[in-house]
Amino acid sequence: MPKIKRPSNPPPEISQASTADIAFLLLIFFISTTVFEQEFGMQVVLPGLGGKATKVRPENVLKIRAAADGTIFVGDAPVALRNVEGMVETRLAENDQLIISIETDSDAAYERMIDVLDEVKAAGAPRFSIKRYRG
Amino acid sequence: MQFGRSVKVESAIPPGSMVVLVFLLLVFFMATTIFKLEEGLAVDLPRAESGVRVPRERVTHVWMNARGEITIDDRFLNPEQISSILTQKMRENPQLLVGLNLDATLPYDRVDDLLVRLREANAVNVSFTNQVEQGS
Repeated sequence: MPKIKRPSNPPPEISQASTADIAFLLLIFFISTTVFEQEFGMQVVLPGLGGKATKVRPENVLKIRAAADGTIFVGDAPVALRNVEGMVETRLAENDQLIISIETDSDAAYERMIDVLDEVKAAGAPRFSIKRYRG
Repeated sequence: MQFGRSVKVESAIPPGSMVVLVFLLLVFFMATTIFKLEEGLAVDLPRAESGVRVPRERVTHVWMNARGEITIDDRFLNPEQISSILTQKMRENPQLLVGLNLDATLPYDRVDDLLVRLREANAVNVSFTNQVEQGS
């Protein structure tokens, strides 16, 4: 009986041609899905402790008070938070020397001060101060 | 006398080296990337619209949670220690920006005390970190 010759199989191997595709696929996946954490903040420059106090004329100061119960006072009048930006813009248009003094009650939540600061910044006020309300 | 043309050499980048290049890039970025892990404290940041992007490379974070606990670089500190730590940091980098990650519900007097400590350390460039509120 004649011997049947087995066909010689080449050794199995993984094609390396697709490795580049896989690597690029991984790169593209990570590039498109990576999210860099961004931080947002309202930047202010605090006065130094050794700085000289300058006298400001009362008509150049607009006091905005954030009370503990959430009420916002512009001068002595209570106003809704959403109206603060417009009021500050109007006062700035009348007096470009205006300084906004943001005063917050000791027991008011920190976010009340941020709410007011946000409105003042949105109104484009170039000069403002932040302090604790002392009655 | 005529010169024979030089033999043209085919200019092509062998696709086989692409794999090596891509992996080289991957390994380079994996080896050089530094993940800065600062856990901070669990704080509920206030929302604001006018916050701007903060350059993270020059920021030192001060965290204060609703219970009034303070951390800098994940170290719990007493309020009295803040000035000395920040004075040291200001000496190393006078352009330092202090990112205040403060809980929205904190009573304002705690924040005011913190601001005084910052002024004592002459760390006057401050950023009140906020969550971005979409414009209404």
